[in-house]
Amino acid sequence: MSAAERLRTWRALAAILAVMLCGTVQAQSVFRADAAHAGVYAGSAPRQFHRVKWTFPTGGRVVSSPVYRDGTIYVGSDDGYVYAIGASDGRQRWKHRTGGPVASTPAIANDTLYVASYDGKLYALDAKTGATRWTFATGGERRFEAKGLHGFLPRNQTIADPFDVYLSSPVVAERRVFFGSGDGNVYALDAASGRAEWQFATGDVVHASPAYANGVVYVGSFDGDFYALDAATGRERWRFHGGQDPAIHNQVGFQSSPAIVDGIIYTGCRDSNLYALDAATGAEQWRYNASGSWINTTPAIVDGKVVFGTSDSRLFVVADAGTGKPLVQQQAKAYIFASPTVAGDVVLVGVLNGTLEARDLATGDVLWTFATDASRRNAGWALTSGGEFNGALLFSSLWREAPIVAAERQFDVGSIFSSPLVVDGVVYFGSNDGNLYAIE
Amino acid sequence: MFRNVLLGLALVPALGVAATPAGRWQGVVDIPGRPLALIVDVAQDGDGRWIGSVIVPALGVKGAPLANVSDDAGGVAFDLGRLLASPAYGPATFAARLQPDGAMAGEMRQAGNVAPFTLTRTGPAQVEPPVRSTPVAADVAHAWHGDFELTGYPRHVTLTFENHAGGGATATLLVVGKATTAVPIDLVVQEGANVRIESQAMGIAFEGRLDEAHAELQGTIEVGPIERPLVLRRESAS
Repeated sequence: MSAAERLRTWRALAAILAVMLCGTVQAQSVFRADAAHAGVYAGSAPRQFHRVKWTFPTGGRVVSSPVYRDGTIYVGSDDGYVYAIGASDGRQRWKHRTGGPVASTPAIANDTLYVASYDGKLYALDAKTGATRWTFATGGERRFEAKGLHGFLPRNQTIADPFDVYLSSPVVAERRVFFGSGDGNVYALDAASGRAEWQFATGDVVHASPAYANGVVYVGSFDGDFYALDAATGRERWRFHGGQDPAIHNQVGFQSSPAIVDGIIYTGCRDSNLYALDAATGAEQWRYNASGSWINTTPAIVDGKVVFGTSDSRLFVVADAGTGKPLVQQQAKAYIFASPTVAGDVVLVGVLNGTLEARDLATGDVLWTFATDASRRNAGWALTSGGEFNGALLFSSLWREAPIVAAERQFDVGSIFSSPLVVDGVVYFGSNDGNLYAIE
Repeated sequence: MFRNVLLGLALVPALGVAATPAGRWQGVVDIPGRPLALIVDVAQDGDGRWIGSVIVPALGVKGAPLANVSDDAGGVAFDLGRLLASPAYGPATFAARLQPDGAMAGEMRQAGNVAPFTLTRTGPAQVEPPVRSTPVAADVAHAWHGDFELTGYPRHVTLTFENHAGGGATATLLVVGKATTAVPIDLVVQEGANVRIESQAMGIAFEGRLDEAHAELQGTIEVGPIERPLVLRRESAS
């Protein structure tokens, strides 16, 4: 071994050691597979649907995305519990009660599970037993809200957004836990003790999930801005201004979480754009415009491609990561909020009509679909016979609670907000019908 | 025996009434998981044509017109026109038969879904007449121009009214923004100095008040859920 080779070997070992000491979460044990949120999983997802391996029922909607560690699947539920479930048998290993819906995806580092709850607390739990290690209380949770939101009536009424379904999912790096809150802050806590190290105030709710790379935390806010914060101090490195919508507050805010690959940040925005930003400066590299349709999915980045979905226009898009030029555009049957997952040459996409689609990465063609139980039941004809949302029957009025109720009825068809997880060829995802599904 | 004869005589007029779909009908469509209650009024107009209207409390609908009402040898069919219609699946349709017990039973189809329904006659029909366009005053029957801003972009509007002998006025609405859109107008109503136009198909409406000089229509335009102030100036005065 030459001196140069020895130096490279030592550098590689040092890098591995540094990662272990920092406690950066491992692939599969955090939202979007890793701290950079690339959304790419090891192995391959099935190109054919074979069977439902198991179904785990919870007492509420499963918006949270499942994560995996040492033979166990971890997921939150809107019933207020965090669950640990055997990956092989689908049996509950433990559950831990929080004070509100757990619409956040857990992150696991050094045998500690971190997750946010609508009770306004971040929980640190023993991943093996579910026992509490510490909790941290934020300033309290709330949904994004605005007067006359989305054109709902009366215009002077402050309305909570029924489509703001997620909570921020924590990411762990540099011995710190980073997450956003409905109180508008981004927090950095000591991962071991839960002590607050810094907090950064944005102008509105932060329900996107921070990504981490090279000492910087990146996250967008419902205030319409995207932030790069120093991971050690919380100091703002730069901010990027997304669109604003003072009329009905529909085309504003980052619900999508960022993905970072090769120094470029990719993030969707409710202003209908998917942005590619320089991670060092925040300079815009390109944007893909979805013509009035939200981009709430966190993009998956693989082999120079950006994979994402849109809401109202229902597009599944694979774009060139260097230019933003669409390589594939196909229409799904309903809105896509769930972040696509890439495993091998298969992309898994949850759709709000309660179906999971498996698509070929190269062509975008549908390989197979799986409809949840609630989607098949189609209560109240929320869906057309073709699987699209039945808008004519659902949205009969914009007054008072009517559009809120209509949105909830849409979600009752087992809408999939949860981003799929792939482990050993098995696909795990949550549904609004209350189930966590394992299919292969 | 005598009792049975009386009972039989009593049933004769009831069976006779059941042979026509005319009347007010009330019941439920058995949509799985969310039954839909409705009231349907069906009658014949002065020309003998079948007309009707529907009330659907759960959808906030009162008196929406029925379309394509037909009565054929005990079979009754109608649709709900624009109500619950979709471009891909067409209108919501009802097809039923009058039952020996006096009920109207059949199937509702909407957006490709099918569910059974049963309606019971509760009284005479109370068909709600459709809202019709009115003529507009001579000083309104012109072309009007104005501008408004929507989602950060300016739009130029040209609204033109036209009266027709013996009927209501019609209007054309042209909106020029990033694209040029000819908006189909369903309804034109003038009441005193107030003028209102509606496009149900596109969810656009304008309501304005004629100023004292009869040179401006000062009001608001509604585009879906968004309301914007809009002042239209008469072409000859602009």
